[in-house]
Amino acid sequence: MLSFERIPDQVGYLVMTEDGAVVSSSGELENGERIANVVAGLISLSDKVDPVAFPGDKGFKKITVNYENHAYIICLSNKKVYVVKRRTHPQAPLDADLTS
Amino acid sequence: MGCCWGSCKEDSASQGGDASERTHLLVDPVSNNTPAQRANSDDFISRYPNSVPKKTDEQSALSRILQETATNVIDVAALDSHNLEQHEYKERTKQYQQRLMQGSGQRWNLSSPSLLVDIPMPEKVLAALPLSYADMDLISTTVLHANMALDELKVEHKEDLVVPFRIP
Repeated sequence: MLSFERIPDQVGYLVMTEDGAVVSSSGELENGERIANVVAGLISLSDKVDPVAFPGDKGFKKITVNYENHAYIICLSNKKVYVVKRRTHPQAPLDADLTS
Repeated sequence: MGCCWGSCKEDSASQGGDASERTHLLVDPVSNNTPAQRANSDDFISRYPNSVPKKTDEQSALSRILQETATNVIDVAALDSHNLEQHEYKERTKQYQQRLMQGSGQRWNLSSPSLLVDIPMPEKVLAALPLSYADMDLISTTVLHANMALDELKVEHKEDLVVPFRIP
């Protein structure tokens, strides 16, 4: 079993099986069936990665869904889907002005 | 209630007297007479203690009540007595498994290829530093500008839209 406690800023996690059933969950994602369904839909949106945009890649190692102050990190390992919710710390936007 | 009964007697008397077009109407009250008597059987018993037909009516009414109650009662103790046979177990197992297969078929299944690839050490990936805000900012502003550029895309036509062919 994975030690989720060592993941920095982790506020909840979810482990799903191949068929989308929740194996274990904790924190803010406890019994997060809704999130599980959303994630299942997200990672099965497409069955392959655009070879032009990502040459040599058969898929992604992780998918991150970013929000203003939290993010969901999704990855697949040993036929299980791991979803971790992490708190993120917003920074002041950089001064770099892209319009110039 | 006695009045009701009396009127019924009158009806039955008039029924025997003349056979007019009303005869048919009088049959129903007579047959409907029984529930009324049943409902107020106590009254009848107290008023006519020696009348034998009333007693049989009461008995039939009571037995009817008993019957109705019996049909309405669910015997919980009797439900448990039904034991599943071995073949019934097997049949049900098969049925439930089929249902499960149907359900999982409709659900999303990872055995089909997905956007993610299986990786050996998920801790590393999950614990990796999140996307920096500078990068996110770069992505969102770039997409915004690309969108703006697409919105401003216009077709500049230099030739006539309708071109006449050589029509004789």
